[in-house]
Amino acid sequence: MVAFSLWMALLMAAPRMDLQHTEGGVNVQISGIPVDSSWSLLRVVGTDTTSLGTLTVPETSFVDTTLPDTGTVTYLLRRPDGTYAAQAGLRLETAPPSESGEGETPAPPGWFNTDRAPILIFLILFGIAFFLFVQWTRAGRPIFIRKIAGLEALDDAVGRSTEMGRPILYVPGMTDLDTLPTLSALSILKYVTKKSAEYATPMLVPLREPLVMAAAQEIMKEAYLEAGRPDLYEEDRVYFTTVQQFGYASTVAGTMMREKPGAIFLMGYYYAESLIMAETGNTVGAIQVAGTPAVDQLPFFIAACDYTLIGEEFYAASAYLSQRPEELATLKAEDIFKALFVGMIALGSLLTSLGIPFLSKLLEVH
Amino acid sequence: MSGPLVLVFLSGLFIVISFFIPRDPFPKVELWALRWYYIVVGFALLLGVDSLVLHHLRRIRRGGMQAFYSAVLLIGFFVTLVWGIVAWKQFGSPFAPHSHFLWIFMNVEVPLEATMFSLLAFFIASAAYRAFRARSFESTLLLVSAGLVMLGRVPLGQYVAVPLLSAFGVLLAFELYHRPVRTPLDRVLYRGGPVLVLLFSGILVLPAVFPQLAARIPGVASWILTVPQVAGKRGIEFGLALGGLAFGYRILFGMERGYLR
Repeated sequence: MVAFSLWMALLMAAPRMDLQHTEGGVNVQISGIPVDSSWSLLRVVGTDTTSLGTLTVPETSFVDTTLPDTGTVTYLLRRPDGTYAAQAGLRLETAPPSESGEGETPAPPGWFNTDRAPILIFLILFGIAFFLFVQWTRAGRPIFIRKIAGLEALDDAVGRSTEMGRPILYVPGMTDLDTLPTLSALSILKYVTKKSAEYATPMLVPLREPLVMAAAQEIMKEAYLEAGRPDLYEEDRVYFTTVQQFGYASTVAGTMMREKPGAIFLMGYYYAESLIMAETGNTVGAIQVAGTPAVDQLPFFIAACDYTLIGEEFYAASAYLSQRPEELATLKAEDIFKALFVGMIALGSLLTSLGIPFLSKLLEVH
Repeated sequence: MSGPLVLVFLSGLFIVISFFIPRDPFPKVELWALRWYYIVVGFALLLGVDSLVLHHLRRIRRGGMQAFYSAVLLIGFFVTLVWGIVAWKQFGSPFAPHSHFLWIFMNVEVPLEATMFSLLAFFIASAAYRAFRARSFESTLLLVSAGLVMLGRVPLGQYVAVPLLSAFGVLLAFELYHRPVRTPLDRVLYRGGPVLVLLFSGILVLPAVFPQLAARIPGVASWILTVPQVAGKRGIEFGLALGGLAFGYRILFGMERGYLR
């Protein structure tokens, strides 16, 4: 079931937009947005941004008829929380294909979307660095990875909860199994479950998505088995609550107040409910470790939690915790590219300031 | 590579390829997979309902105060379910106007969610109090910039900014001066710091004399939001993009198996 769910989850790509330029305007087709939320569509022409309205499933298409004659038009898909999920653009330099032309067959799209060439080049370069570092460690050469305080604190948090005789509460975020933050949160869940099994400390995992629940139950069962304590696993402690955002937040906050956990792990993607959970956890005196790729929620976690995994630290968690040289090597590739990015930003800023927009044009993605 | 990992690799690779090739069969297969995903999610909800009902039935069997809450939850769940089915049969949709299900949704669900959301204001206040306590140079910097942003974003801000910030400066200087001096650095920070803060507070009085300077406070707030704040945020976002990409590669090539049983 888990394998099948994960297969389906990986098949599900991030929200995306497809544009079709017709005589009547630009037809914007949107796929991969959740059923229960309203997403906004914006159009950017030059420096002007126009809101084209709100889309709610099943209404996932929009025809833009108020277009300029020429120039680059970019469409942005905005999530209900204000962050951007997808963008697509096109150049209006040629007349749109005629719809009334008799006997004309519209040319099929090409075999390669050239607008996305910079992304492909970047993916290939990153892949090369990725495998070079994996080979590097396979050859037995050492690599240095800095200590990540938030991940070092995982063991301490489990230990403290055990000493206090209180359960551990693990929240794997708000998103479904088709997102990277949830997959990363599930990887950390396995590590924390193993530790808690070693110390025989009970773990509570309230969940918002049924697919995540099915995966979490299997992962925890396996972790207890690997720790040699399959008898400690109780399915009743990994349970579904509700899919409603604030309903889930109140369930988690209520569990914190009733069960008084000694350690709370808030891992995964969060929206506005992040502070309700983190502050309640702070009130009950639990040691809290949080990790999220939601940049807007990071300040709340930093203010209310003892340790916070910031930025890529969250995605590095499983590699860091496994301490397998091959996985650690992939973190080194990230570092190299980060240095490359810094250099390109500096060079791009300098060149653009000197009136040479070569680098910024080269990296432009439509 | 085991069976599930091969499936993960092939399906992941297909999605990556279809991102670059807009020609059939790629978009069609992607759409087909997307539809199947929603079908799986729909059926998985039954697993969720099963877990929810069993979890609360067990709690009722255990007894105590929590049993009462679980009973309320189960009654609410089944009443809503039944009314949803009735409304579906009567009106063709549970959300049809005048349906009892819609009444329950608008008068129970929506106010409850709104209440939880409103509580956020109080949680923000308590978290802000903790974050803004001037314990170190960084938290003082955070306090000052947050104060400027708050004053700059409200219409009344530019009028009350000067007296508020001046008073804050005097209090901060007083607080720093009374800190224990243990090292030479402490001497510089806790003796020189108050002088600088008082000078700054004095400069702030100038806008009271020249109102056109006070009018610039919203501009300062916007600058904080659009320059240093965005710079910090983008740095984290770059890291996240690279981290996500490396994580994706690890999943694709079967190195990352923590999410599998």
